[in-house]
Amino acid sequence: MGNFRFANLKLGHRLALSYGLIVALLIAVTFVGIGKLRALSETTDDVLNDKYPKTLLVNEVTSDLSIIARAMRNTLILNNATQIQAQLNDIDQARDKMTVALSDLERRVSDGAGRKLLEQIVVAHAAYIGNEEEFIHLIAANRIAEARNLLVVNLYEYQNTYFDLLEKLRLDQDALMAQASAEVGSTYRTARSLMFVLTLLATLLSIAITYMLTRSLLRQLGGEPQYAAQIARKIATGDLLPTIEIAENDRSSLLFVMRSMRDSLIDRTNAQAETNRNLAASIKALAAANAAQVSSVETLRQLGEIGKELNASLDQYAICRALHRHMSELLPLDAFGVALINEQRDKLDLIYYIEEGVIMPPRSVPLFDTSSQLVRAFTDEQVLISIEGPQPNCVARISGITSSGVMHSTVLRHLIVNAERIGIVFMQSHIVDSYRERELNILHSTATYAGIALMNANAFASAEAAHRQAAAALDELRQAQSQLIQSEKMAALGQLIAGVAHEINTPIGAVKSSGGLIADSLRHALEGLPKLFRMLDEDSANLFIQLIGHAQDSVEILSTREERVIVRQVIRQLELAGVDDVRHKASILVQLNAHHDLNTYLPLLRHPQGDMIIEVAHSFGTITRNTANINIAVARVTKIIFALRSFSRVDSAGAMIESNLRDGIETVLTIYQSEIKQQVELVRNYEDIEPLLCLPDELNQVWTNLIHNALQAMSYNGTLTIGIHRIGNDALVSIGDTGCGIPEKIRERIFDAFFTTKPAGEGSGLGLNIVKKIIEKHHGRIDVNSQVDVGTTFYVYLPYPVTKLAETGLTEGRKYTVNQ
Amino acid sequence: MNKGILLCVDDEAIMLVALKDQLRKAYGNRFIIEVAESAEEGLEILDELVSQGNYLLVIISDWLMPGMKGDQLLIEVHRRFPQAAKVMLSGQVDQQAVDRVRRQAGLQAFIAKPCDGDKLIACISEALNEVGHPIT
Repeated sequence: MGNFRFANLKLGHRLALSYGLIVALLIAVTFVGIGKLRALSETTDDVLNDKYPKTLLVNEVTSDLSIIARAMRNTLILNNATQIQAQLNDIDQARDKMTVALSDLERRVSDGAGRKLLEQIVVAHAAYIGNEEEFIHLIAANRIAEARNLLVVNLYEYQNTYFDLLEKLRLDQDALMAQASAEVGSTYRTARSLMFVLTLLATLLSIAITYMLTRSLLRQLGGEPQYAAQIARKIATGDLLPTIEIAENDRSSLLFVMRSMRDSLIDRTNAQAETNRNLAASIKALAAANAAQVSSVETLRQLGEIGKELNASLDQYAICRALHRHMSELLPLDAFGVALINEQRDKLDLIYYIEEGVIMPPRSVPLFDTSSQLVRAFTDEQVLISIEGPQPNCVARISGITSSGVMHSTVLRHLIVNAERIGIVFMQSHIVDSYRERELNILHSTATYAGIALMNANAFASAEAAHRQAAAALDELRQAQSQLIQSEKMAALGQLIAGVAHEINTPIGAVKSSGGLIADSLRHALEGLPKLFRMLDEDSANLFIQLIGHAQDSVEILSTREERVIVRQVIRQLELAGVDDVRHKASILVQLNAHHDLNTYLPLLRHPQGDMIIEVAHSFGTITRNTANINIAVARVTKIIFALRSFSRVDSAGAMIESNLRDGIETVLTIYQSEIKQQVELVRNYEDIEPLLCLPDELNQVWTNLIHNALQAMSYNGTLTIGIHRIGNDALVSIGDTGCGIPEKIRERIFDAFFTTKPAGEGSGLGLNIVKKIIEKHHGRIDVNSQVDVGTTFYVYLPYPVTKLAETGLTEGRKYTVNQ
Repeated sequence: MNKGILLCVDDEAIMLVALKDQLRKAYGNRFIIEVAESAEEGLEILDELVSQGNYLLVIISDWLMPGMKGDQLLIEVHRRFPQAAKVMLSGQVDQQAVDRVRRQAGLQAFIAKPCDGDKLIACISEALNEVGHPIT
């Protein structure tokens, strides 16, 4: 019960609990009251039934005693017997009564003091009554004097004592009554205080409970019940406008809920009203359309014409112009304009505006610019707005448009297509009351056509723009493609660079070395020659000149092996001739190309200065040989440069020229020489064929690609077979490798652009695609024959022009064997 | 008379022409100067000359050649003639091959192509010095 809270209880429970408590308190008050009342009643009863009767009895006795005393005295006084008898009867009567009262008293008195007094009274009574009877007896005996004496002496004494005692008893009883009275007063005061306290408590409690209940009720209601009821009554009767006052932080009371309910009711009512308004507008438009339909056959016919004409045009401006022309024929207008919402729906484009026959330049108004009447009319729910009376120009606030000022009739109409507001058409006139129902109906109907026509034009323009964009994109794509092709070319070039560097380094190094040697040898020869000629006789000198002359015409470049064979022979001959240092001299003689006429030069060798002669001759030989070496090296460099140049040529759209396919292929092989010479066996099956009209540079790209692929396919280790043949009207170039082959499933795709089996970044996948394109440019074709793990051969067929065929007289069907 | 051999191996004839003349210019007829266009030919020459009582002093070899590569040649030569100096002269450097020759053939020098003639001769002279044939 930790979370028990009074405020969480239901109202009924709360009330029951609260008032139960109060009722309990009131019951308690009642019980206390009843208890106290009973006590009071008992005390009062005691007084009434005990104290008070006892006092009465005491008074009775006292009274009887007085009567007796008086009567006894009277008997003494009276003389008449009758009277005396009457007095005696009184005495008897009083005595009886007195006795009865006394015995009654005896029975009743219970308190200690009273009891004691009563005993004394009984004694006094007995004494008194004894004397009294004596008195009566004396009287009866007419012994008056004795009677008097008895009365005065004895009875009086007893009588007084009797009176005193009775008085004391009365006083005692009085005291008892006073005590009882005090008791009653005290009980009353206690009861009063207790009941007062309990009542106060109950009152406070009921106030507190009432306050709490009221508060919780008010909190739940959010205000006074009457107020809440009043608000509810108002809402119930449809008055949704009353301000409902609630506490600032009240988010849960009935009134708050009622206010929310009211607000949403207002929203719904507004929405309903909106729907109703739309409905009304639609009904109105429908009615107007109906009215327009029935208005006049002629107008209808004209409208139909307008519609046809408008829809026949796909140019927005032309549509507006036609619309303007027709409208001005049908109704008075001084200003006419058409504005369309842009694609982003944030601006109205005033595509057409004419005023007093002057066409204004197109302008735009942002939709947020509500100072513009066009924007206001466009954003207004009303489809057709007609304004009578002086009014500024509709376009007055749009910059760049000069307007003539005040107009007297204005009408603006939404352009709606497929329930979508696409713009606004508007007309103004200086003439008052220009646009009545007929005019409005005409505008209404025409605007429908115009909307559709403008929409169509817009769609057409969009389609055209899309077409233009597509064309531009295609153009870009073409550029990108040509760039890719160019970059593929550069990649092919890049592949060559490494090999080329080596190819160029070697001849350059040779040139450098040979150049140095020539300079040295020349110096040596120039120093030695004059000395030599001074020493030699004329014959020897001539012989020397002849010897070095051989070096000049040495054209034959021997391999080291061939040279060594010759040197060996020369050594043997020289040994037989008895020449010393034969190996050195033989080598020099062979280098001087003098070994053919060895015997001729024996005199020079046997000459005393033979060594010097040989050295000087060697210098000459060195010069000529290294000069030749330089020439060879330079020729190689030139060849490489030529090959490179044909690759780097950018302009490939040149005219076809007659070219020997063999030259092109050899050029490419030059570049790949360093890669081929290592572990590749190159087989050339070249047939002499006629030069072909072609684009040699582009074909070089074909050979490069195919040779490069072939070398890569066999990892630069295998046999590269290149064939050049003539097959019918075609030149056939075959390039075969002994490489890994092309799997059948990808064979179809190898000529596709961007197809590559090389890792990303190594090949563009364009190589074979470009090859195919170049061959197609030559009207040729390319075939491939491949076997996995055996090798691949590409066949390139390039046709000769037909006229060429006729000139050369070659016949069709001539068979060539393709040697692979 | 037995002589020391200087052998040049290169697949480029133009290189060999220049090399042979440079060596001859530098050392005259002190040594047998031979050139070969391939590793195989080089080994044949060595077989022949050594069988005649000559001995190998220096072998200068290119690396990138058809057939047997320079590093293999030098390793083979080292196996047969451990006392000879080995020099590699190449335009293309395969560092692994060079390291292998250094390790397995006691490579004396590596000379990059294209090479200055004087530098080449200085290198070879130093190599000759190493193998006990100082050039004075």
